[in-house]
Amino acid sequence: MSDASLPSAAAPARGLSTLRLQFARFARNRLAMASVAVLMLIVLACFLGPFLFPFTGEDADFDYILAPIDFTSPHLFGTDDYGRDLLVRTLEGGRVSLTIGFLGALVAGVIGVLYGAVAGYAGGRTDGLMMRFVEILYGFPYVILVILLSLVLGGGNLALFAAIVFTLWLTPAVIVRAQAQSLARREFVEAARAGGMTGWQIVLTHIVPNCVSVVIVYGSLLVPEVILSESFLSFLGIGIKEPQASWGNLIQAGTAAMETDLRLLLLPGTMLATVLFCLNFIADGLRDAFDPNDR
Amino acid sequence: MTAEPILSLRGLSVDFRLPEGTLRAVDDVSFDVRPGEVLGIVGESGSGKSQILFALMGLLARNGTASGAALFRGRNLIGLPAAELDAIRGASLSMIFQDPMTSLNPFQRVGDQLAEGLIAHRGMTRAAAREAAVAMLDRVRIPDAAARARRYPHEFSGGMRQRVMIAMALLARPALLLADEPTTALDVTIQAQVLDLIAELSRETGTSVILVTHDLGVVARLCDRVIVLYGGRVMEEGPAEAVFDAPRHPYAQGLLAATPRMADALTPRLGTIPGTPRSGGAMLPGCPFAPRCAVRVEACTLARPPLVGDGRRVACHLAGVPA
Amino acid sequence: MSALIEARGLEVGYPVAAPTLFGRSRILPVVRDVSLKLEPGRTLGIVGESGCGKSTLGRALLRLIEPTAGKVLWLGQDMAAMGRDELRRRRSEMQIIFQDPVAALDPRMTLGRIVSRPLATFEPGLSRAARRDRAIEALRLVGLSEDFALRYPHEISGGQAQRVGIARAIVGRPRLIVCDEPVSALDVSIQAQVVNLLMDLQDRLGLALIFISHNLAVVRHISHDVMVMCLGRVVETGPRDIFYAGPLHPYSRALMEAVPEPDPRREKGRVGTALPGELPSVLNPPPGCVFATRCPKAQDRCRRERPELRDFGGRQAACHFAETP
Repeated sequence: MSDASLPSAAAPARGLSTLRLQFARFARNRLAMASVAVLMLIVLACFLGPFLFPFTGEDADFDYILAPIDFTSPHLFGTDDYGRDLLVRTLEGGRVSLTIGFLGALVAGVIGVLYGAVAGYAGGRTDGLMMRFVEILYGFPYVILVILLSLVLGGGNLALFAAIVFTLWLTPAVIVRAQAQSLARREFVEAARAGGMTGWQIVLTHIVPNCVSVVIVYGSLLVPEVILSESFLSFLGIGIKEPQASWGNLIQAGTAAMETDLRLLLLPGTMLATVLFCLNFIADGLRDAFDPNDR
Repeated sequence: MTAEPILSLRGLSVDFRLPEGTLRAVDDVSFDVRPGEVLGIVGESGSGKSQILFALMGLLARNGTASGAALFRGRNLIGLPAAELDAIRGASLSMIFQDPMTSLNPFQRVGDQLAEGLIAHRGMTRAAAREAAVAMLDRVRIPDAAARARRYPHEFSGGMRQRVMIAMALLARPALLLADEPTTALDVTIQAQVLDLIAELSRETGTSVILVTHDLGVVARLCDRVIVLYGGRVMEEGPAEAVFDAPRHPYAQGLLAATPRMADALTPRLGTIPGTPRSGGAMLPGCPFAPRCAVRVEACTLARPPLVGDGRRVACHLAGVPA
Repeated sequence: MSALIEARGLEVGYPVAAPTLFGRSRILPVVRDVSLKLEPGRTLGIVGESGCGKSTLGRALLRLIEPTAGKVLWLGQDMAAMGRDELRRRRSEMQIIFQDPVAALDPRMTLGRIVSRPLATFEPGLSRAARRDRAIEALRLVGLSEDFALRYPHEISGGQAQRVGIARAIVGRPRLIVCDEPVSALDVSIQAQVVNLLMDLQDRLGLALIFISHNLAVVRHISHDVMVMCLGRVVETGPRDIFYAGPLHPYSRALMEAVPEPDPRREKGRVGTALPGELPSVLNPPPGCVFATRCPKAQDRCRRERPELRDFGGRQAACHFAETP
């Protein structure tokens, strides 16, 4: 008795995975799509923009020290007290901050997802131990932890990056663990065990992909968190060190000069704020698109 | 029996507004319920059987609209203003549901929930209502009724909760009880108890019952008359014995053939109806069962067969033609 | 013929938290002292109500749950003695289908991949194309055309999803399938399709089936032998026809009487005969016979002394007062 011999419901010839349906829903959200566009522009500007200029952000131009915003001069948005072009510096700072942001969120996300999926699926004592470790780390004050790790890993930018990531994988792990726990009880996981799959295979093939929506939504919130993290640390003076620019230390310099000269704060501040807004709208859009109630 | 029917449905239809269009869940359903009779509405998923009950009680989802007439004691329930419906619901018209846990308030003691209805609809004092509640719990064979009345729903088993629901529904002595798959979630022996209880109490109080179920055995146990529903339309209607002995509609025949039996000779394979029950979409022209019907002819996909007969009705172009 | 699968004195329990902080957690037995034997190509129907342990038993037979006592023998070999790798290989021979057909499918995978994935474990030598072909063959065997392979679980009906589950179960060419209430969530007409399909596959592929269900009528149709469980214990076993013609145990009788048949004349006569009393709690089983609290024939001895399964010429029943009808 074949089901296919009957006029079936209007099902497409190629199945629409839930992922495709969800992204289609996202695409319909105009605010989110606009934010994606703006974000892409900023990313392009930061990575490709500096090539349009004959100087870098570290070149001191002694002819134009503390130059004001002047679109006729070679330094469109002026210079700082070393004669370095503010626009290029901001763009170069953007490279650093955005790289740390996206890369950091990616790495923290991957670590967190794997950790949480294993803990949630394994359950029992393993889960207990893994979660106790997470709780202990949560107990450390964030800045102290970053400073310690930074020092332990030898200082420098890579160490900073590792330190930030290390503190940020905790929350994705906890979120994914909850999801993994409920998935582990579902019949298709039982079927996988009956199919002879090992625990690791089940985690990677069945658990992690089904946590994707949770991870994507949270991940998009993780990026601004990392950027802010780096900005905050640089602001405190323990982040990216001069002469290299990052939005954090640019804002720090700008804040110091805030009373006399707002220009130094203006560009990096605006860029950072814009990126954060865009990421938040995107996160909202993703959350709506991936809403499990709509599945 | 020439007694006036307690409920008369004429052309009841239920539509749901969905993003992809309108879904007609119930299409032009008409039938009568006589006083004291138990009417079974049997159908599979997507047949619209539960939606009929929800439409009568004014419990349709927000995107659902009912049209047509449902005359209950002379008044049309469809489109009745909320205040008037409230006076009827819980008093002369009650309903019991498949999952008793969701219709009982988990934060309120069982006895109080029962008493509430009496206080509201019959104006009894709290003390008198509580006493009546305990008496009713006893009547539905909850052991140790007085003590149990002071417990909370989660302290009762599934079968007992269902009996509490029946107690709540019948306490106000309604003229009509609507039962939506009341025993589907219960174990076999508990189901038998609850069915017996419904039969006994409805006979005692003279309450008419509309019982919605997918289980033909339950219909055989409780119902005087049966309506077979498919795709939102009535396919066959008649006295239970007549319909089960000699079903005239191909769908009813198919359902009976597909139901496995406890006694009777075993066939090598169960009778089947090919395909899947209709789910969603606009109504097709013609008979809703046509895509799955083994004996369909061209007319079946073009024109909807009307429900014809008196006392025993069938909606099939080929009814009366020997199989 | 030697048995395909055999259970001896099987016990399965779950740890229950201690009532106080320092109390010891105890093991709550869900399956108690169950023995059974199944020959190749035969169907054993296991019936019972909630809490009888039938689903747990099914999973323990496949070692998806570890028993707390007793043995399971597969082709004469003790499964507990098998190493992890050997057990994994053996899994191709014993499969399971579930009650909720859609939940049994990974929502993120295409149907084709769901069906072919087990082959990556069972027959690692197969190429991806070969796996795909086997998957399509399995889908065809269950009555689904090739283009179903590209669809996703949320795009198909419950009946079709159950067929996919069956396809996944047979793709590795098993000898036994444990069916855990496979048709309870399906409409009557679809239920009949799936039951017929299982019987067809049994004939074609020589499958043995363990069919777990609370629906006595369906079990009657598909089983060669029947086993009735109550509160974790077996109360009666026997060949299908003899069992249905006249059960020995009062609980079996009560179950049969409680099942409503689509026959109004017979059913109207049964109104008022329901067995009173509640299902006993698994957490607090009564001493003595598991059915003593509800049995119409219960006597003092039943409440004190638990009856053993006794032979009655090819059948067994656990009752002090069972009589051949």
